[in-house]
Amino acid sequence: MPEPSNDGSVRPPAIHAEGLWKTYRTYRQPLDRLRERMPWNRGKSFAHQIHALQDIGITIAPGQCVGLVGGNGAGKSTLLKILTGTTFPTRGGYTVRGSVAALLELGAGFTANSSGRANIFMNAALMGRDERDTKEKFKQILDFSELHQFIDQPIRTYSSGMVARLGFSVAVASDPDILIIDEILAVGDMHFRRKCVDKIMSFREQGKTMFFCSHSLYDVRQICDKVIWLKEGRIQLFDDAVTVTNEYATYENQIIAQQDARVHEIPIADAKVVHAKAEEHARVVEAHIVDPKTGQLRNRFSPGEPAAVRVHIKNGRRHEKLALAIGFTRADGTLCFAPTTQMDGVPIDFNEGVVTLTLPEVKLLSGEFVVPVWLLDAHGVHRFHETTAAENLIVQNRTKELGLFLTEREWKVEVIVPGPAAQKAAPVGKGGPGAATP
Amino acid sequence: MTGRSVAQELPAVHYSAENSPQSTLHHALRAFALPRLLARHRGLLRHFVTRELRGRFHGSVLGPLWVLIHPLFLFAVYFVVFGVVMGRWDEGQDTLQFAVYLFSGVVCFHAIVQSTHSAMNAIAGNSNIVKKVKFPCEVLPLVPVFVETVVFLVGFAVALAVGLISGRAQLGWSLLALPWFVVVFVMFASGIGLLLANLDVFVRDVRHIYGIFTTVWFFLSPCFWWPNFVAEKAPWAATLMTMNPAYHLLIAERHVLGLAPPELGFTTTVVGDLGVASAWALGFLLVGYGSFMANKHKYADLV
Repeated sequence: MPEPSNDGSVRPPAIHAEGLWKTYRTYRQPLDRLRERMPWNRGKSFAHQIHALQDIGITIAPGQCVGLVGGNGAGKSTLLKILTGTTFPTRGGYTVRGSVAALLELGAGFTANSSGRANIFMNAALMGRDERDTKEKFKQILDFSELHQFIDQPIRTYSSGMVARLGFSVAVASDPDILIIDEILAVGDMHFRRKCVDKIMSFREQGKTMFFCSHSLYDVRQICDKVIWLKEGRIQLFDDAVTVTNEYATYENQIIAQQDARVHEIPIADAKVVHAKAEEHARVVEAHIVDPKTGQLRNRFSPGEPAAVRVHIKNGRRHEKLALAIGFTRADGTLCFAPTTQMDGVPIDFNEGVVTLTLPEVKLLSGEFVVPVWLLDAHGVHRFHETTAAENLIVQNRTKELGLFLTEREWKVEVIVPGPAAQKAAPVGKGGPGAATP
Repeated sequence: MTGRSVAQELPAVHYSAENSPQSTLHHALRAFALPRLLARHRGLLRHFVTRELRGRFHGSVLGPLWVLIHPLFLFAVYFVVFGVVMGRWDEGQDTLQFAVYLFSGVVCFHAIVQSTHSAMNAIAGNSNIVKKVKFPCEVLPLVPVFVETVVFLVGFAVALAVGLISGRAQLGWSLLALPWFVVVFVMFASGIGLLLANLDVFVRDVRHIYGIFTTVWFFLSPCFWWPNFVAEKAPWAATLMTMNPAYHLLIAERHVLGLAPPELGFTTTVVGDLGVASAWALGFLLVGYGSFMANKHKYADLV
């Protein structure tokens, strides 16, 4: 099924799968496996079926870098294993074009008692590589792993990071057309991790196809062109990296928030919080996130768009001066920012009214944010009522910006020229020492 | 991007669950391609065998000597029990001849039992690579076979040396059949090993059953008893014992070694015995290889 690739020519896909199913059969007892095979039990099933993959169809063009995200047990590893060829689909078929190097587990196939050197050759042979070829690449592998002084020691004396380094070095040395990696960038020290990422990036530049799964959305977004989100064995979304990681992060945060909510249902005695008895004290009637231009309810924004939080407040019988605080909390509990009317010098003095906080530009980046609302006394100390906005604020960025928030910035690049003239030479952009000065 | 301009020529792997043959017969017929397969994976096989041999002696003081010490010890026990305690084994043959006969038998049978036993565990015991690395896992059960072949050859050399020096074995043309014998031995052990490795993945009871079976099998095979002697005492057993798959293999080994062959059965020549042993070995290989390859795709999910 050819499709045009980046250089305009038509090339067949590197990986193509259609209607892929993987069903695991588990038996309550080993005897059931035998009973099922008996001729008088034909047609009966004693197995419990687990559908690890259901109707997976993917086409990956050569040179694409595809990430795989999803929760535990979503079928990520199963899919990678099938495309690698260590396990086979129950239904459906696939085509993989080009030589494949797979790292399903770092150090798989290593022998603890053999030296690093012996293991390099052993592992290369296991991956079907020629002995002579390995000899030629031995220095390259060793240099990449940086294990020169340990190479003749048995592997069992290595730290897990060192084993990981050796495994990665052997795998990438084969110069494969397709690289399949299962969650391995999480190991090794910072220095080696960077080397791995550099290597992967250089693979990308060489137009090699990559397929890898990771729980690090950061890695996925930085490295991949396209991302597959697997959920319970099915493809939930297969799109560009930014879209999928956004959707997936939102979904994940929702789950976390739901779990948090369940935890928070347990009442906590807090002396400072005066639970609002009806009509007795000031309280928040309702709080919503709205679009400030239309005034309509809306809770999905992109960074840079204006957004507003509208809070309807009723003062209590004892008329008091109030202050309002609105926070933006990420699902993991981080309070991103929380402006208050008291700090900004905005008085609230009414029996009933609406206070609107407008953010001319949403500076938050991708994620879902819970919006807590606190109704305080004028000094901002005593809390009359605390609640959250009915909706969560969902921010989705369309760019590859990273982190929690967006901010104005300015870059400046200066060159330091060595030697005594250095001080005179800076800053760049203005004329050098030779420039005419009237 | 500097993608390859010859992308169309990249080797492609197609797999379709619906179109992949899974019958034992289909794969059994491909067992004749086994030599080519071995040639292709010889590097991998060599790595595995050296790893196994090295690993076996790793950290032991006597090292490779253990290869011989085990069968020697078994030999000593059987010699004392069957030769000395239970008395003379046959008229007209002396103790030294019995010793050479017994030792050569023990070395060969021990190698068969050891290799098939290890081969049985080759898939289930190497789950980490079977699950995580794509490689031809049919080499795994063959590794112990080749390791034990090496061990056997060392024992055979010792038996030959003792036999020739003591004059109990005659140096003859039959020794030239040694390569044939080794091929038959490898086929025989590989076939059983592959079959057991396959069965063991599905039903782990196999290893226990096979453990008991090999004990019985030892007594049923001509390791310590002389076939003529049995045939005289119990003529009805003569035909039965030649139906043992290991019978002709063990007798052929003594032929090759230059020991006087028993005058029994329909073959009394080295070619005849090796021929029958070859037929058994080929049968085991076809069944073993066929069933192994037909079920290979399931192993990663079951171990």
